[in-house]
Amino acid sequence: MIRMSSQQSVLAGLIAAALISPAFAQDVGAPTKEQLQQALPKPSYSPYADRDFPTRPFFGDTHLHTSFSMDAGAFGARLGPKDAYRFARGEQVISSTGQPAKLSRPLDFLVVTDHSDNMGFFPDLFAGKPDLLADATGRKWYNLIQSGKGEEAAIEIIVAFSHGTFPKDLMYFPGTRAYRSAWQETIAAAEQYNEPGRFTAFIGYEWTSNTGGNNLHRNVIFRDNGDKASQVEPFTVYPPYGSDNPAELWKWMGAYEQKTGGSVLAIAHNGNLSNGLMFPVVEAFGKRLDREYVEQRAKWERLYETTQTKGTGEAHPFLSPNDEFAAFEIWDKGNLDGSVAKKKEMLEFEYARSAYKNGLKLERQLGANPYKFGLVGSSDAHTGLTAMEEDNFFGKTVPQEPSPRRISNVFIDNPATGVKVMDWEVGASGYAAVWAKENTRASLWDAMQRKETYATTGTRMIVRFFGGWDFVAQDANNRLPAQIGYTKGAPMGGDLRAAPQGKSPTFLVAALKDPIGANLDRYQIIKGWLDRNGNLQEKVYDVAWSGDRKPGSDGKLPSVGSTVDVANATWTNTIGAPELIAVWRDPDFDPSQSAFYYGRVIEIPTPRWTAYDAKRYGVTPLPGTTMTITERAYTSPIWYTPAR
Amino acid sequence: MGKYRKAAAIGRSTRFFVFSILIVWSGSQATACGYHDDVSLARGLLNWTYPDALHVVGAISMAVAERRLPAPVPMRGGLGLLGYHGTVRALEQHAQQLRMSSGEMPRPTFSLLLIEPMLWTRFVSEGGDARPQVHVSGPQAGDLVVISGEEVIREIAHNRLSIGEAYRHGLIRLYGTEEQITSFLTCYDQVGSVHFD
Repeated sequence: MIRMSSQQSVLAGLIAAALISPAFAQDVGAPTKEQLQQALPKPSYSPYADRDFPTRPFFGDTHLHTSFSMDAGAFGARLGPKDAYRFARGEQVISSTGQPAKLSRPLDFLVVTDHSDNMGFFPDLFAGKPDLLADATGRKWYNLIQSGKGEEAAIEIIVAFSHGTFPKDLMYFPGTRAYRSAWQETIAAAEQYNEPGRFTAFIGYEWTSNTGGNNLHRNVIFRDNGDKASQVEPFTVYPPYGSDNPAELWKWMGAYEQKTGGSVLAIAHNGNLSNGLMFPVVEAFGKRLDREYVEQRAKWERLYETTQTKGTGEAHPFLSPNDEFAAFEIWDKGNLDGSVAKKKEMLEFEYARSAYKNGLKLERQLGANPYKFGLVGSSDAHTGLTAMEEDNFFGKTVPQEPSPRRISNVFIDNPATGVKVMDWEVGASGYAAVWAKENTRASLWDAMQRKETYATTGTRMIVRFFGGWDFVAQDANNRLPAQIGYTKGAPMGGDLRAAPQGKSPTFLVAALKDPIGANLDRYQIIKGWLDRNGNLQEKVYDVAWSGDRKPGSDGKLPSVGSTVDVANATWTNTIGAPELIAVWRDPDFDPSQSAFYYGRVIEIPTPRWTAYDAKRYGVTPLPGTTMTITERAYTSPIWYTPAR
Repeated sequence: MGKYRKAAAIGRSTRFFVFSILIVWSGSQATACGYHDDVSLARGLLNWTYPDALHVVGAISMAVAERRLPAPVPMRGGLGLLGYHGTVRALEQHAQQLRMSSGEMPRPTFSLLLIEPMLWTRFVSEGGDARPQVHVSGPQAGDLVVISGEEVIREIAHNRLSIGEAYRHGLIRLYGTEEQITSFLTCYDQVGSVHFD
């Protein structure tokens, strides 16, 4: 390891360094000499002149529901897509429980991803839209609602769905006028609030496959404007219009691109609630994994949402017993609806790290790696509010908006399976950070496509991660580390190929604290590889850290400590470091073994939203409630593939 | 207590019913996230049926944060601040306040919903009485609907908060005709601010 001082000031280098073409982050191997010459700035006084590369990460949320989602609406969400975009842009809005809400800082982008099935049904029903009232059952439900019997109406609606007796004329499915209207409204909201250069409002939706209560959801994000997105209607799950098989979604995505010339990508989430189905290695939907599956998945699913309100899915302590930071905001009690309890053997196929590992093996077996995805975090909030700050957390659903009761309320309780989740276990997480050249749909989407992204659990720390063969210790002294990073290596999401003779991968890593957040504890690199015996391995390396701590005999770095005053929900930045930078060389590299590396940056402990609530409302948390948190960021990996 | 047990049992069975329906619904197809019970469902629908009814939750939360209302005490089972007995006691005390407050004016009949347990109580005006019918299925046609929370009613019942103050702070929301609302506030504005015993 080549470790540089963690206290060196690298702010300018991180957020304003000269970079070269982000095209190098794609899966195309190392850049050519011509590409480098073209992309590097010409010599001039200003080191920033002629640069043509991402200079800052854009923060946003790729996964937010509004009242247009049937469940969100049914449980009280009144904010629609327009409200959601306004809030994300930094405007103050009134939440569905009547509370003024505003972000500490505006976000740069948002994707409203309402459930594609029955999108818009609920607001329309309550608004008494003529299409709905023209049907006798629709009118009956509307009248029940109007006469104060909304609960009765809701149960009838749900029963009708479950028994297959839902009136056809009321179906909000592709091809119906009502559904098309809801989709057009969604598009119109995004078009209205999309402001290139300032705020990006993506068009998107969630495809909500949930067979057996096992979460296989994907968010679909359009690169395009409304002129293309409006040529189609979202892919749904209910047969005969849709399917619960992701392979069918990929077909739909391909058909969209063929029809419109546009581009879409899909982001899966909550493998932790899939009960072992999110990252299969043998078969999916009754079919053995084959070359087509792995290629299609790699093509369409470029990113994975690894942290959100329903848990963080980077790693699990059962799978990574030597990783003392793996037990973070874990949800491992069952599947999405709690109908099936979790079994240990499911875990391997639910978490990002194990998927990365299994992906290496699948690549060897099938010729392509289906799990070569980048990482983002997002909220999955069903409130219309992407408010994922610990001191400003508006919950996952409307019943979890700020109140003195949410710290002790039950979120799910299924006595039949023993699955019980409390509201306090819901996390104020997360956001997606995207290294793009400019804040536009095209630029951000392209960065997502090349995986130049990282996930955060709500913090807005700035993280760089470059891999190459020639980084040296002095590179960490440079004021423009990103320029060096792009010049000598590949950024997060990229590839290292064809190891030069006698060389090991080197990594230039740098992180800056969130300007209004906590100091940093450490920057770690997580490596996974396929060893010579065909076994999958992983190891966590501390590569930069605050203070003068020394690793113990077990190789573990001592804890940074804690300044959290839980009772008062405060902390101080008297420990940790505002920034970390280092160059690290893999000490265990074997050029014949495929591997991946990703960065994990951990903040010092701070109060969790539960601590803020306890203080704010003067309530006592239930025993066992987690009251502190170590916010963190996870970079997309850089993969090393041996020359064939 | 028997009635309470019955009510709780109804609540549980309904919750299981709705929950199982949601599971069935999700069994082979797309669905909501599935983390919902009947009470949450009813409460959520309220926000549409009585527009912005859940703003009471926000107002109560802000009042608790400002220590204008006491914080709820968590109870196992999540059945509310006082449990059913305590809530009924507060409602009856509240009815007594109402009886003594309106003087010669005719008392309006109204339906009160406590939003945390989604408990409806109908206060029926009969002669000089305001008779509470606790745990009714909902309002009757033409009723003024009063939406509030357990802590609010308790504070009013204990003469620490008036109905008028609660209304002005958003701790009580009224749904009815303008005439009904005016009549209610005229009769009961000061209820909770004066000791009648």
